[in-house]
Formats: sequence, structure tokens, C-alpha cells
Amino acid sequence: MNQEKQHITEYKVYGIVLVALLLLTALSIWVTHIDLKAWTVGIALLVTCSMAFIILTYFMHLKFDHILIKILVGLVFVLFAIFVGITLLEYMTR
Amino acid sequence: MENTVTHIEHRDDFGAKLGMWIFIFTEMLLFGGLFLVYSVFRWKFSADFHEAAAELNTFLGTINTVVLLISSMTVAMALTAIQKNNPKLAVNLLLITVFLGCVFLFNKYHEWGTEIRDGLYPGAANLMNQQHGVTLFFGLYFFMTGLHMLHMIAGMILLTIIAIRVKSGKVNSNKYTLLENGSLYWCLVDLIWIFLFPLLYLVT
Repeated sequence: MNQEKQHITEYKVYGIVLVALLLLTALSIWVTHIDLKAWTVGIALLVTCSMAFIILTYFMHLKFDHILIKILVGLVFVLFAIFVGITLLEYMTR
Repeated sequence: MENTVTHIEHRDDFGAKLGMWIFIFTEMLLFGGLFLVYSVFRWKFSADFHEAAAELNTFLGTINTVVLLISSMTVAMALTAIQKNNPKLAVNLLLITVFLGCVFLFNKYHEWGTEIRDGLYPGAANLMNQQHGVTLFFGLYFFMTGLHMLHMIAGMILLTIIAIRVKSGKVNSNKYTLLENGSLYWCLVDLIWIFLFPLLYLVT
């Protein structure tokens, strides 16, 4: 397979994506400055994961890539979540 | 008798991209392991982590986050530029990306300098005398940002080489896998920082 029918993302799209990411960065800073007690970490991580999703989808071109790559990326995140989940479970049940 | 050699160009652009993604997965698991260590120690020493994180320079951290986000945009735009057969713009965008990387490194130098001056580096007597969780936090902080910094430097070298190849025409609108993979790597470096920043600087 070579490069003949590749999707070309317009410059403007990248500009819009950057603005969205900067806004989310501002949001994550704001969220950690107001007192949300136990929810702070969860919400901050949610904002961070949204930013990660946007970077993967647009800057790393996943949106226009072959489905195989999309599935593999998803699986790696699931694998990592399992590692964290089981490790923390082990610590919490000691 | 003919002396011509037929050069069969083996080209597998999809394979090359897939290979790059598989490498990216190993990087994700590498930093993932460190985030795992962070999450366990954060759970065990939440108060100490809270206290230690207050020592970090959130302003510089924020600037660095913005700088990296912009650099991800410029490197992605460089790919569009080469696809649209505009190598000059591609080279300029790549060089801007490397420059933004230098800005990041410059900020990091200041941050680390302050922390080292304050005796908060791994092995320092001052740090060893702090609460256990504080010592752990700074060990993780220096290791994770240091490893990230090494990846940044590798990325900057890679992007510079790619810029040279675009200039020489070896990377062009018909053959740009190298630039595509280089931009993937740089975006990965940004992705890692996107997680490092809130977890180390913000969640206090």
C-alpha cells in the first residue's frame, strides 16, 4: 500500500484543534484551583483524557487511519487500565 | 551483455506506519509503568504528594504545555504541507517545531535549576530529610520529566534530520512516510506531557 489516496487534513482543522486543546488546558487548571475535594483528580483526569483523545484523533491522524490502528490504540489503553486497576486493587486489599 | 541492475523498490507505507505505532505502544507502556508507580505512591502518600507538588513551578509548567501543544500543531501542519507539495513550508514548520522544543527545554532548565538549588533533587540531604512521600514525589518527578526530556531531544534530532531530507527532496509529496512517522513521535511526546503536567503540577 502506498500513499496515493491518503486523506489530507486542512491547516484550518489543526488550528481549530489547537484552540480546543488550549481551552481544555485552561479548564484543567481552573478545575484544580476550585475546591472539588475528592472529585478533583477524577475531573482533571477526564479533561486530560479528552485532550489525549483529541491529539490522537486529529494530530496523530487516527480519525482518518485504518481501523486496525484505531483498535490497537484502544487496546493499549485498556491494557494499561487493567494494570493500574489490578495493582491498586492489590494494594487496597492488603 | 547488459550490465543494468534493476532496483526493485520495496515500499510498504502502511507497514511502516504500523511499525511506528507499535513502537509508540511500547513507549506508552514505558511511561505507563511510571504512571502506575506514581498512582500507587500517590494513593499511599496523598498528603505528602500534595505538599511536594506545591514546590513545582506551575506557571512554567503551563507555558511548557502550551508550547508543546502548538508544536504538535506545527508538526501536523508540516505533514499537510508536504502532502500538498509545499516542501518549503514543510521545512519551516518542522524548524518551528524544533524551536518550540528548545523553548520547552529552556524552561525545564530553569525549573530543574531552581529545584536543584533548593536541594530537592534525588540524593540531596535536604530531600532525604523530608517526609517519605515528598522524597518519593521528587524521585518520580525528576525521573519522569527527565525521561520525557530525553524523548524530546531524540524527537528534535529526528525532526531536524527529516527537515534536511525534505530540503534535499528525499522526503516529498510522493514519499513522506518518514515525516508522517516523525510527526507521530513528536505528538506522542506531547501526549505524554499532557498527562505529566496535571498529575505532577496540578493535582494538589
